[in-house]
Amino acid sequence: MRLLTLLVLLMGWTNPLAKPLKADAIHQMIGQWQAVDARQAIQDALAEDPDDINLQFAQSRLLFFEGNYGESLRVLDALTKNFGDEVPGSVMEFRSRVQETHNALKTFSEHSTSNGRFLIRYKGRDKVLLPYLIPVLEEADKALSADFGYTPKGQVVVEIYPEIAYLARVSPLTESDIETSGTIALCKYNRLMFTSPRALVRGYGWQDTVSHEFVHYYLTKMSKNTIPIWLHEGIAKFQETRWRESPGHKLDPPEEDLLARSLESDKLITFEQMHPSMAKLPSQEAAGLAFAEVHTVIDFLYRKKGYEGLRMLIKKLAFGLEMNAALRSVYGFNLMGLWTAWHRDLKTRGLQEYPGLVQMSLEFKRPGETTDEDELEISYGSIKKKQVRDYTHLGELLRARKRFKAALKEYLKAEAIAGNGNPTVQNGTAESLLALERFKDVPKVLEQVRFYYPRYLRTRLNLATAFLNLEQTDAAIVEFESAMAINPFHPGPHIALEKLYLKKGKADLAKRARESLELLK
Amino acid sequence: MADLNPFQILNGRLGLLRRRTRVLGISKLLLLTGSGVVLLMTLILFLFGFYKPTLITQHWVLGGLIGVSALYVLIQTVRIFSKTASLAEVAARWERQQPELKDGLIAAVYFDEAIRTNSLDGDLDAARSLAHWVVKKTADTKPSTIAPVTELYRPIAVTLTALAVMLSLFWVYPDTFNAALAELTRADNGLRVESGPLVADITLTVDAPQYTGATRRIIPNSTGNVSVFRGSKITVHATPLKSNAQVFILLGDKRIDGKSISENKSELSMEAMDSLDWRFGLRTASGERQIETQARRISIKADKPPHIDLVTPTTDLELDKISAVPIEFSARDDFGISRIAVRLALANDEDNITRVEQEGYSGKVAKGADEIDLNVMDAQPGDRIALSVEVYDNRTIEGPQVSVSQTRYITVRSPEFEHYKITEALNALIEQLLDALASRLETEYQGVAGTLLSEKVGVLSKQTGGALDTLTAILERMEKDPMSSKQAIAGLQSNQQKTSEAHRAEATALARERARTQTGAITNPSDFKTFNEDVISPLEELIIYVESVVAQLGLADIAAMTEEIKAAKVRLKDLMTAYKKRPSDALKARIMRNIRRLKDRMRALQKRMANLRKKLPDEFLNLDGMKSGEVSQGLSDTRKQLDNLEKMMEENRLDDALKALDEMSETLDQLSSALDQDMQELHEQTNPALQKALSELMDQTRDLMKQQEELSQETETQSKLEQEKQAEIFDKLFKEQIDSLLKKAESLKANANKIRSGPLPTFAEESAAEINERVDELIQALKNKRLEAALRSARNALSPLYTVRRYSRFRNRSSRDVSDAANKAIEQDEEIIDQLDDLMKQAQKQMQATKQQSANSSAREKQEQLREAARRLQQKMASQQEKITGLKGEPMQSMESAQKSMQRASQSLQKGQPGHALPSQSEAVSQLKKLMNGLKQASKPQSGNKDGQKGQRDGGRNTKRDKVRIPGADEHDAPAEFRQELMDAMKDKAPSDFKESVKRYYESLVK
Repeated sequence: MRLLTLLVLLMGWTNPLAKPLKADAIHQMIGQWQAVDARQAIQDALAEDPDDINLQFAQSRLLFFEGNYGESLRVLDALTKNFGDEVPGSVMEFRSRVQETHNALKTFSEHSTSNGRFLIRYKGRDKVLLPYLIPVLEEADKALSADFGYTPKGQVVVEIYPEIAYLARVSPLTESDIETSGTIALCKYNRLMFTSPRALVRGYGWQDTVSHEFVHYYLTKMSKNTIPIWLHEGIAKFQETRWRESPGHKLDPPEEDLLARSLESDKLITFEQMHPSMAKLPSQEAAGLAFAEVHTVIDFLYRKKGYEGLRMLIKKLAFGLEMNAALRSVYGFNLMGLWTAWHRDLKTRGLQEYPGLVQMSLEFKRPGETTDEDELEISYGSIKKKQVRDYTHLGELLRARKRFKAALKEYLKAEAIAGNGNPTVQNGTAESLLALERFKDVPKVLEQVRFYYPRYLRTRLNLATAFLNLEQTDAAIVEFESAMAINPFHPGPHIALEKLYLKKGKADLAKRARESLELLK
Repeated sequence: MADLNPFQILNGRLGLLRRRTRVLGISKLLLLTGSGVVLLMTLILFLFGFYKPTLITQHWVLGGLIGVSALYVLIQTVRIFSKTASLAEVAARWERQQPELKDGLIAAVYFDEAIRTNSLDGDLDAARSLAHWVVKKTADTKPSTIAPVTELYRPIAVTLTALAVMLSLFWVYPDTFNAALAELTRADNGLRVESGPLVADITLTVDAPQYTGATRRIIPNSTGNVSVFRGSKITVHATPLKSNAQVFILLGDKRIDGKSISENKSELSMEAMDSLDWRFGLRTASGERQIETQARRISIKADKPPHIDLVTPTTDLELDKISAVPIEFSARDDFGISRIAVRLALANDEDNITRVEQEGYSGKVAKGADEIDLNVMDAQPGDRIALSVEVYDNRTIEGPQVSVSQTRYITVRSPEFEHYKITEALNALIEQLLDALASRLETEYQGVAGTLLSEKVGVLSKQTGGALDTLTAILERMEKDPMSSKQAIAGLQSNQQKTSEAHRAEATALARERARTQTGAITNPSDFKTFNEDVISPLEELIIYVESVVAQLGLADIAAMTEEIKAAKVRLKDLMTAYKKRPSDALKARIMRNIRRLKDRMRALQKRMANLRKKLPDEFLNLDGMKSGEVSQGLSDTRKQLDNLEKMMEENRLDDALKALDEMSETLDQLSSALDQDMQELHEQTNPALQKALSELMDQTRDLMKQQEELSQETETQSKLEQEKQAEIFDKLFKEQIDSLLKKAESLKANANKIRSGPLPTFAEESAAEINERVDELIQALKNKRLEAALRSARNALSPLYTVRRYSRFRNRSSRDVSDAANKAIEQDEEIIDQLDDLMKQAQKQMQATKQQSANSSAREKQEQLREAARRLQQKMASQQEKITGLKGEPMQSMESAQKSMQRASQSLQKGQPGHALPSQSEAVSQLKKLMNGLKQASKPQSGNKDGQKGQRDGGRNTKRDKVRIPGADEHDAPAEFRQELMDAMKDKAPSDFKESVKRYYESLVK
């Protein structure tokens, strides 16, 4: 939005100067992230008129959108030097964005994938993510190209940030926005940005998140940045697992539970409320609900006309059709009709509420907080009842004193009240059982919480440990890999996986695990 | 070697001989020349002893001797080298020592030379064979044989002899030589060294410094060697050995001239400051100055530094409060003590010393005692103070010497010490309790032999009992600790009681079971399993509670420390402001000490904070202040600010320092605020049941208050209606009677005026005035239809009327009118009183009739219901006051007062007096408000009472942490009870001084 405003202001400013149409067209292309086309156009234009201030500004914008911040800054500085006070405030505002981004990222390392399709920027230990990130990006690229019948041109810039503060520095979001809404990744300025799982206390499903942002990347380019936020997020949510599975990914239990409860109490978030960004919603729960809603909206549309329908809708919007008209022409109903139809459909879907399920929020590490990666924080935040919290706490105290049998009894008391859906309680029980070498009992104890919270690291690690001891190699590999998908900075899975992969004769993967472990040292 | 030809072998051997010959030659040369030089030098010096040429001449002679000798050595060395330069010469020497070679060696050397220069005119083989022969012949001869070391024996003997001669002469004529040497080495300052003494009959008079107390010492026939105290004055009397010569002394580099005190006696004086040599000198009549060779020595006697022992305290001390510390010391010095002072300083700031002078000590030994008030150094609880005693001796030269006794450290205990120990004990208790709990949870009851189970249960019981005993001990300490919150104590006691009961039941059952079975075995494990479970549950609650208490105490401690720091900061600001006005070193030292003390406290606070963060259960770590590090950050900022402050003070940047102090205030306020918030959150998290109970009580109180307010409004409306109705009834029914009364009253007024106009005795004038006032009041009340007031005024008028009548009887005739008027007035007043009485009764009957028709009964019922509700609430509070300690005291009293007020209101309403009910109702509302505040207070975390210590710590400055309560909008009214009292008081007769004021007040009311 700011860039558009900037563009408009700049257009006004440069109007008396030469060749407005050409420069405007280039600006528009940049705004629509058509960086490759814009590059060609700007080269031609600058060859013709190298002193055109508007073209120079477009040049700096393009460089920024290409991820070349230093160069962009150089062009902007030359621009301000040449034109002095004539440079409008909006250009200076853009300059400060570029400067901030440049400052934030200048110490980052870069890795270009073998085919040159992805340029990944990272810092320090985040290098460990690369072997797990690249396959996700490549698989997603393949799947999305097939689904949308479109492949964006050029190199995709992906940036991994070690702390949420970086995301706040390089985007218009504030740290507070990020914490409130749980936003940890963005697709903006023609690039993918995501926060490393090491910035979060318990990690997160970062692979799906990157894939989600990649869908946004596709959509922005394909639609020439014309589609509204709910559709953007809906398609991204629906498609985020395409790198690993076929379409039609079900909602996770927490999402389903949230949606079911909100549907029942008629407290859904409207499409308008989702504007301008999901990250601006008042809480992580609200954001979660909004995502669950739009996911099911797209699922509804997908069930109606498949990818063909979605492609048509995006194309029509890209051609400049209004949402209502585009929807009507493809699906036969307008936006209100869609809301009603989806609402009705939703009620027939038999959404489930999950007893004992608690909504988990992302927990960000505070600046300067240095928890070891293998130290899993016990969070009581998910336990509302004092009695349950007390029993769990006693369990933790006893477990810390290696009184596992006694600890187990306390956890079981907590479970008797809270049910088997609380991840903290169940994992406490599981860890006591592991210590008592009652490995067989662990999978049952964690069954429910694994289903409820598929991305809860502690569950995955405890299950993996149990399977490892039960010599169920395949199951152990699955759990360790799931743990890796949440937090690859935990050394435990790498150690175990190396051995398990070797056992399974997967030397390449074993090597990857070993190399990752080396990086973590 | 086999490859060498015979010539080379011979050359090698000759080379060795040449070297040896040269070494021996040079050695001989040096020894003999050295001996010659020594002998000549000795002779010359000896001659100089008698005949003293000028210094330059001496130098020339000796220099010449050394130069000639060196030249000789050089020439001889060259000769030696040149003589041995040719191998033929060396060979010749060899030949001399080994004649059987028959010049063969010399010939071989020539042949070798010829062969090398290709000039051999002969048979080469013959030459070689000759050489071979020589080699063979010389093989057994070593160069040391040809040039033996014995050649040096003679020169060495000569050298030794020369040295012996020299030493003998030195020994025999030392003075001659000393003088000669002194002369030789002296600077050319015009002094001439004399070998013999220049003075005789030396008498030294030594006057030691006064402080030593030593008496004058006279040393006749002194050698001049003397041992004195530093600073002693030495007076020398000596007789010069040459006539007309002036004596002087060379003391180091300093020359001290003497004065002639008689024809052949000179006097000189000098001050001995260091050990050094001195000499006599003479200035002859010709102006020549001579100096003795003999040095005389002044040695300085040691003045030992004083010594002091701190006898009491014998060890480091811990004081419960800041008080006087008894001390004893003993000091000694070899000459005397001039001053003794007790030194006090903070242990970590021993540069800033406060001295307490001990007056009146002198002499060589001193023993003393004192009581040192630590307030002199502005000591604070928690300080660690270094105490020592210093002693100064009486040395006047270069100032007194000082010694310091051993240091004793005095720790002024603050209540925090014990309190912190309690916290630590509670932490240890958690471990003990957890151990007991774990053992119980892990114990199996089924399938265990009876005797074994009995033993196990015994162990469990003992473990739990031990933990409970520990808790009892801690509770006793907590009760004595002013900083432990009563709420926490009550909570712990309650939890302990529950656990103890279950534990006792188990122990009793075990004892019974053991007694019952001969083997002591448990026959019914399931019973004991139940007992165990009964203990586990309260034990768990107890652990959780102890944990929360530890956390609460920790936060409360930190908060208290913060307050303490704030108070210390205020004190610091006062000091700094005072210093700004009147700078002094003492004040600055005090400021610096306070800054360091503050830094100390800050360090302690940070340490506690770190401990708390470690110990705080994870669930409490969502406390925003603690978790975000806000609190720690605040502390760290404050410490930095203190560092800056210290620096600024050191640099005397006072304005900057005061500014920095203000900045620190802000940081501390933020710190306090973060802590308050955390404490409240923790409190709410820890006591959800308590919070719920309080919340319920507050809801009920709020409802009660609201209902009472509504009822008050209703009653007020009723009261107004009633008043209007009364006025109406009066207007309708009693108008005529009141009018008639008014007429009578006016007639009474006429008589009252007559009385006033007199004549009256002076002492009756006051009564006359009062009659008028009362009658005026009567008339006014009747006009306003206030029968009760009218009756009261009429009755009040009677007494002064009787007084006037009594006094007027004794007057002359002219006063008869007054007496008549008084009699008449009394009749009239009594009539008015009777009529008013009747009228009142009638009015009351009428009012009663009216009231029965009114809605008073409904209000009374409501009031009664409210009273009942209040009673139930009071009962509920009473039942919970053990659990919620904050309910005791004021909230309970407020509740009781509210209930009583409601009862009074109800009674008034029952009597049909809504107006009377109103003040009671207001009082009830006011008490309920008070109760509400009390409940709010109870819901806040309660810390222990720290006022006592705070007063002490702040130097009496009371820095309460309670927020200032802003009164509500309706609180401008005085409490109802007070208002009632005021009304009652108004009915009484006002003191005469205020009569006018009272009158004016009533008039204003009427208007």
